[in-house]
Formats: sequence, structure tokens, C-alpha cells
Amino acid sequence: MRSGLSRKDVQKHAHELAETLLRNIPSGVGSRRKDLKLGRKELERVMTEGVGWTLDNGYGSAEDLAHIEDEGCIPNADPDKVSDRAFERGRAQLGTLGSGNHFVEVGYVKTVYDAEAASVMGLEEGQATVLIHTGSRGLGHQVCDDNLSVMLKASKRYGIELPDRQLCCAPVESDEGKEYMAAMAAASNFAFVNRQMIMHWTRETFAGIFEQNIDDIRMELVYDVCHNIAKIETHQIDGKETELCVHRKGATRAFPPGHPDIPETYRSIGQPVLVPGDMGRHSFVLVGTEAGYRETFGSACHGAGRVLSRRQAKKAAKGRNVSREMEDRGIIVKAASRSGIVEEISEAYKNVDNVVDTLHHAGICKKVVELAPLAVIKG
Amino acid sequence: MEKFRYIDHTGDLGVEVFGDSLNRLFQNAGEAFADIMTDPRAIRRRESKAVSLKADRVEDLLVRWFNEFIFFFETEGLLFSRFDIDSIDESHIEARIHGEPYDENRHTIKTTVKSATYHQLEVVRQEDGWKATVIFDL
Repeated sequence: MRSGLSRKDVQKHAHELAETLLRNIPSGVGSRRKDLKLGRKELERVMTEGVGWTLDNGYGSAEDLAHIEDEGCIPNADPDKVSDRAFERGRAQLGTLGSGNHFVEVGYVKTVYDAEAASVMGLEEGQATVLIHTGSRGLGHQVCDDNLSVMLKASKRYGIELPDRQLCCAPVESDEGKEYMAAMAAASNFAFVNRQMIMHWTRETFAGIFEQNIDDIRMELVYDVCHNIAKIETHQIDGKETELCVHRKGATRAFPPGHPDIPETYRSIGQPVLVPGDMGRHSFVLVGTEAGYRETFGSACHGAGRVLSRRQAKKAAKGRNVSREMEDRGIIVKAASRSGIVEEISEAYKNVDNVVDTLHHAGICKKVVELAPLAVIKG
Repeated sequence: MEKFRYIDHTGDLGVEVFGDSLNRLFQNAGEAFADIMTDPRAIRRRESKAVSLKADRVEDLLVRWFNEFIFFFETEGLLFSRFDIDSIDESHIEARIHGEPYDENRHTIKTTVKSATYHQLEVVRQEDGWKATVIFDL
């Protein structure tokens, strides 16, 4: 999200912002909303309508719609393919951040690399920004768990030899494949709604702290894009247009300029690609390229990637006050639990600068701006 | 006999669990899970759940056993510290598990687990009992 605020505005209120965001957005272990528990029918609507449901219920704004992948609704989602257990896990988790590497990060544009693309995205140096990283929560996990059992049987039935049972699968066009795609679409739509609601509460938090109307604060969505989903797309294979199922695991979509699936506003520059670094380092906004479209089916990494396991990170952080270290570097970090912070220390991740430079120099994406964190909430 | 031991896995977390019988292996797996989540000594036994699971293979039964704990934690906030297994073989388990809801004043959550995975999953019978290896998605 971009905003009408500056780095200085945010710095003055960084503590208050982090504390209030953490209060307004349920985060961390088993986070659930006490004020919002949806019944089955409502959840079905969330899964089939995606962001349409969000707008009907007063969260989010219609202007955002065009800046969300698939306008916030992946078609052919079927909640009937989502188990009762997944419903149960999802019902109190809509509008929650969760734990692990999920976060809300308030920062600012530190460097502009591509002035034209930045201007199309409404981004300029010194401007305050917000990054939100979360997804389909326990509902998506349950969809995965349920389908792993189905796919283990399917793999056997279709005679697919597996190098690892976690990689169990079925042909996309089989009944198992189709049902899974319909359930995954339902979970993806839940994720779109989850992010929109968190965005809504982030706006409310800012409006409260800066004592302005939500509209005056001009916190507008630059782009919302999925991680880790599979989609049916058309790509060139040996010079022929071919329909493919592209699974972007540990990855995100990065479509080139002119592609019909990206918002009209961005057709001239390419789809915005978000690559967050760890909470102590920078994050980047890039755009997809024609070369990336050819070489990676329009995909890029969705983050820096870990180098230390969570246990190793905990060991490395032993006896340290990580929040204080971050504060000394001008970054206020608030988390629901200590483990939410220590597992995410900077040393646990690759340096995002190197990761993004690789994307840029390989031509897969083009750097647009660098964002630096000021206030972060973690699960 | 050692009940379980942690193994490192970038991004995720794994355990090796041991038991002189299948019953003991699954009990120790329950204790390993409690230890991943929190300090098991702080979990009082105030609520019980009946668990009844079936699977084609003992490995898959173990994954379901772990995923049962995750489900109860996410939906009811329950943590468990005692695992009474009434009957078990390689394809089914009937058990009563005991614990209490998460209380932020008394429980520190060390790690939250999203699911047990089939990645490098193994349950093997050894000379002196059983050994299981499980990687968790965090």
C-alpha cells in the first residue's frame, strides 16, 4: 500500500503504530477474532466471491479491486470441495495475521531505481508504505492436508513414481486434480479476503493515529498478489501457445508489460512484484519482464529465503534482546510472542539485496523501488 | 530409552521419535509434539478428547496423529500432555488425550506447527523397537 504520509510522519508515531496494529490485527499463535466468527454460509460466500464479499461487508474499497490479482476472486472455486475441518479452522481466522513469517510492515520508499515505473505505481522517495504478508491460514493448510491423502492414493492409481511422498500428485485433468484446483481456488479467495480485511484495519489504525479520515490518508493498494498457488495459464512452448498449470511454490507471479491479466494501470510497466526481505533489511518492489515471462513462465521468488532453520535462529538469538537491537537500527518490532521475533532475525535469511540483484541482472524482473522498514508487527 | 530428539531442517523442524512398542512410539510422538509447542510440564490435564484414526500405512497414521493435535490447538486452543492409547496397530489408533486450553499467562508457545508432512517421513521397526522420522511445516 502507498500512502499520503511521509517517512517523518510515521517515525514520529512508530511505537504507537506498531502497538495499535498489533492490537487491531489478531496475530500470533492460534490468533482468532472474537468479534468475527463466520457461519458456514458466509464462509462459503467468502470462498466463492473473494473480495466481492469484502466490499459487500464494508471492508476495503472498490478502487482496490483492479489492483488485486484476478480482481480478488479466482474463478471456479468450490467450497463443497473444502472439508468441514477446513471450515472449522477457517471460521475464526478470517482477518488474522497468524504466526511464522507473516507480518505487517510499515516502511518508506528509500530508493527509486526506475522513476517511470515508480510514478505509475504512485511511489516516490520518502513516502510511507505498508506491506502485508499473510494468506489462507489454517483453512488453506487443512485443504492441503486433506488433499495430500487423496493425492497419495491418486499417485498410486495413476502409476506416478514419487521421489518424496510429500510430492504426491494427480493429473490436472483427473477428478482429483480438478477437485483440488477448486478447493485451492476457494482457499485463495479466503486469503484475498483475509488480506483485504487486514488492510482495512491497517487503514483504520492509521486514520486513528493521524486523526484523519480514512480517505484523506490516501492509503491505496499498489498490488496484491498470491504466493504458492497453481494456475492454468497459456505460455509459449516451442513456439506454440500451450495451456499449462503453473505452480508457483516459494514463488509469485511476475507478468510482463502488455499482458492482459495485469491491471490496465500497469500494462505499460509490467506487473508489480513484491519481494520482502527479513524484518531488519529492506524489501523491494519490482516489475515483471518479457524475458522473465519466457524463462520462468512469468514467476519470481516471493522472499529472500532462509539460511538458518528456526531452531538455529533461536540458538543464534539466545541471550539477545532482538527487539532492542532492531530499535537501535530505527525499526520498532512488536510481536505476539518472543519466538515470533527471534525466529525471524536477519541472520536467519539470505541478504535480500543479493536475491533481488539476481532477479534484476538475470532479467527476470526489474527493480523499481527499495522499501525500508520502520515499524513491523509479527505473528 | 530416549523418547525423541530434534533434527534440523532449514525452514522447518524435524523429530526422531523412539518407542519399544508402537503404543509407546505414538505416546512419545505426542510428548514430542507438546515439547515442540511449549513446556509440557505446564500443561495441566483438565480436558480430554477421544481420538480415533485410520490410515493405510503406519507412517500416514502418525501424520494424522500429529495433525489431530494441530486441529485441536487451532480450533479450541488445546494443548495436550498425556496420551492414553486404548488400542493401536499399523492402520488404526484409538486414544484419549488430555490437556487444557492455551493460557498466555501460563504457557509460552515455542513453535507453532502448521502440519506434519510426508517429506522424508519414515516409521521403521528396529531391533529394540520403533523409530519414526517426521518433518513439520512451520
